[in-house]
Amino acid sequence: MKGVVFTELIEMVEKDLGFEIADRMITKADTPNNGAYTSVGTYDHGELIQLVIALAEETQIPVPDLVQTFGRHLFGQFRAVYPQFFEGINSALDFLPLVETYIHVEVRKLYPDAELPTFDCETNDGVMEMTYRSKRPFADLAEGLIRACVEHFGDDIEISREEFGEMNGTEARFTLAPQKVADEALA
Amino acid sequence: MSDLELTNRRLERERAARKAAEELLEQKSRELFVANQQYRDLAEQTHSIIETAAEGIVSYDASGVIQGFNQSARQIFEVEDALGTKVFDLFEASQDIEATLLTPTNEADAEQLELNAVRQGEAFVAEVAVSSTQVSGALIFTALVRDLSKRKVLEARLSQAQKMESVGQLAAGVAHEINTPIQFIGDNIQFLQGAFEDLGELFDMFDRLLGTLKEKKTTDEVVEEIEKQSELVDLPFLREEFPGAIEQSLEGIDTVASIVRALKDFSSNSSSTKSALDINRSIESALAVTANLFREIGEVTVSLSPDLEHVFGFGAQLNQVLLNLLTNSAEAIKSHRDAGEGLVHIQTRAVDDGIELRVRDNGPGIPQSIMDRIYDPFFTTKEVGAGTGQGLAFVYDTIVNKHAGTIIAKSLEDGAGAEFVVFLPTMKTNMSRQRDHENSVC
Repeated sequence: MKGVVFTELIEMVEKDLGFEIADRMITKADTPNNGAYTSVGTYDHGELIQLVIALAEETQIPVPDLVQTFGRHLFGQFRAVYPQFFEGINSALDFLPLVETYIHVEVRKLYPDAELPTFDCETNDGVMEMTYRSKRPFADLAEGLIRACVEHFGDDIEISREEFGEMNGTEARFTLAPQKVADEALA
Repeated sequence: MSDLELTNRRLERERAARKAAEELLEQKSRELFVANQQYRDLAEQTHSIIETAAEGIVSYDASGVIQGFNQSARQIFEVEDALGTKVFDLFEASQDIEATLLTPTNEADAEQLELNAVRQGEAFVAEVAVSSTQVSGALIFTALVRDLSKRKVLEARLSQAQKMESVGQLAAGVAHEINTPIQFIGDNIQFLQGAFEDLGELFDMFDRLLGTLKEKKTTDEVVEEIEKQSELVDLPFLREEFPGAIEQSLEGIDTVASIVRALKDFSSNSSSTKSALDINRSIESALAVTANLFREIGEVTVSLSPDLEHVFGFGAQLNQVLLNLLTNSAEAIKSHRDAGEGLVHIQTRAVDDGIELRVRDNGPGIPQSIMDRIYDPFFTTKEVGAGTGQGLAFVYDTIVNKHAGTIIAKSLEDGAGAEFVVFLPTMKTNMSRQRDHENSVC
């Protein structure tokens, strides 16, 4: 997993919960490099799980909530660093399909060995189904990113999530139903 | 934990992270250097391969502006530097040259194109294969160009050699064909010569009789001599035999003349222009020069439709096609049947938009395993040195490429032989196709 994810997690904790909590999280997680992550490095994703579990123990906040919050944070950073990906796009329903067809394509150019999750998008009658598949159990992270994206565009969209496959967070289907469509369906 | 302690710990982590990042950066720099080196080597290698390729390689953009022009291309077109010029200028101007060079040949369902290229203002035939690819979002075309000038000359020589080989093979048979009538023409003339010597004396006697009558002298003696001489030369016999001998001689002369005419057709140089041709007549000519070839092999039967339209083609080439198909059949039969058991049937008939010619023999047929290769130049089933492998290649090239016809080879069931089915468009069809093409272009 790319180091930027680790540095962003630590930065988020430092900023939102303070240096002490961040320090305790790192100490408790007991990762091989003692939390000395660099954004250009590559690390085992298990270390991120160790850090999140340690943080959950420190804060008594459930892991899924922490991971989703981290997803939202990552989206904000992503938006700040790569504004070009958002140019000319006005809706999450237009942006999200680009994750697989554009953003991941660009990521692979820079990091050919990156093991990226897949996001298959299918839209029927205005409702989009976004299917997440990964070798890593980060469906919560995906949900945080998706929710932050919808909030960024100010879309009135109802998001639901359905786990499938091994039911361990490696596969999930997100349904994004614009409120307008949902209302029409109920009417 | 105090703030200072926390800050120190954090600083320690940052230092360690920075060190890790620097090591990573150094490692990446090394990798980048190696990758750059490899890239340069690869680029150099690729450039060398392209530059030294035996075929001309011309790359150009979607508007035809040349961006790459290798050494072979420079030699083929005798142009020092064509970069920045239009690729279309390397070929003879035609209505569709731009579309041709901007259509990858695999899309056009043709592996190679034969185009008229231009070198120092002179046209020459080049084989061109066009491919396209996207480079940095822009469409780039690559044309592989091969100069066919030398090959065309060699092909023409080979074709002429093959034709001469066929004529040579037929020479013995033709000599026999001519020898027989010459023999009886000679016998008849000898007979007429002998008879004329005898008749000469009789004519002298008639002269004497005439003189005697004019002088009003007695003619008894001369009449008696004439009667004796008439009896000696057997005048009634001569009166009966003379017309037959003369008629037979004239027929023989006709036969010789027709064989010589047919042979001349086959051995004459190819005409560069097409003309209206009667295929039935060509078949008869071909049979005349191959008559002796088939005499020992077996029987040749023909079923020629009398209402065939003329085809528009190169006469000498189509005659050669017929000769090649007939010799092909004869040789197939010879390898498979006893003398006299061979059978060749030639049929012509009118079909939609053209004529159909079938040549069927009772040779061994064509094995399925070689069916795809029988028209390949230099492909032969004969022993080394026994065949040039040009016969059917010439047939295919002439029928399909030169006359827009088709040829299908079939092996008859149960090894009963082989059949070649040739379709040739008629003059009318050719003109109609030309009109359609002109209309579609307009």
